Amino acid sequence: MPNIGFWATAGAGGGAGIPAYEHIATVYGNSSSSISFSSIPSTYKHLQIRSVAVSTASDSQADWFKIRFNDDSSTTYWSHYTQGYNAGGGLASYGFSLTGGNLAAFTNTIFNSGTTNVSPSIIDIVDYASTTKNKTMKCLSGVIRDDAYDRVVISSGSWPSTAAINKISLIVNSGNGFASTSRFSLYGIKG
Amino acid sequence: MPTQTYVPLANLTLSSSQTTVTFSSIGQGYGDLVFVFAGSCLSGSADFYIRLNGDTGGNYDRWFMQGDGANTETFGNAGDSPFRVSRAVLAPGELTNITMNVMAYSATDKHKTVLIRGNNASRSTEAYMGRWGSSAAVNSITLLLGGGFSFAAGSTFALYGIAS
Repeated sequence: MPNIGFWATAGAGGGAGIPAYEHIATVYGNSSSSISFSSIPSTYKHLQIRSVAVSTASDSQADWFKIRFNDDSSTTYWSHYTQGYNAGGGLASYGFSLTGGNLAAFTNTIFNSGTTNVSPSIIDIVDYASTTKNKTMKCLSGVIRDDAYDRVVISSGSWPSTAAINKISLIVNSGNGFASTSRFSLYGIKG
Repeated sequence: MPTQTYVPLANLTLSSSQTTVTFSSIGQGYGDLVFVFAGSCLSGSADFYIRLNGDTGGNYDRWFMQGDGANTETFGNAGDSPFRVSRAVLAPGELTNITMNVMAYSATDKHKTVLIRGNNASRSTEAYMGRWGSSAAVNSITLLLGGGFSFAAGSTFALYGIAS
């Protein structure tokens, strides 16, 4: 049985090439209802957000976070998602738009069932710096509530704006905060 | 010199069939881990199992949805041992690819979550979320197949660390 004990040195095995996937910033929850990545450089081709999130809500309230670009709160955002529930009730599929400029964050529901439970998501924002096309996103995420509504979700979204994205805000829908065990990391992908 | 963010930690191609593969002594200097598998099994039809830190207890919960061209399915259950990718299964002569993201693997203040995509073009595509109910940092990952089946020679296993 191969047992691969190995090293964990940054750069090991990476060769001499220029990294194409770069860490831009990491933000942790601090009970604030929103976190932002600002002054995002336009030098990458795509962006990725990798997160684990939980709400500070003290009750059994379900919650989710929304995504806003460039502080745009007037444009209508669109989202579609397919989710599989723990309840085994079959796949559910939804599509909707949000006015007021808050993209439904791909049903990245976060739920406070003790801060050791976090809901994960990986969000890809494609061609974010383009000034000739609208912006699109895709996401793989999950929700952990320890009830029948635990789920895995695949979603997509669009922001119908040709502006280059230079700011991304993640906003808890209910106004509760991101607990301190929440982590949001932004990466740039070169192309 | 630019700092690498998506760092290759280990890469294995089996020269002969094996029943298990373990990545051990995983360093704690990254934010997430990404595991990529492409391969098949030597015989039978096998679920793909993923065990963290050698934990053989019923501490793994999973939720998935899948489509196989004829049917769709969603399912969830708690108390598995270990994570089980059970629709995009492995079979001889068929290529299955599985990508697993272990989120915040080195954190010690939260349970560990995984996001997985499993694909076998001859059978099914699957999206999967799992939770390992432990706040321990992940320091080893063991891959094995159900039913005691073996990974076929030529199967590849790669592990990456993503800095944060």
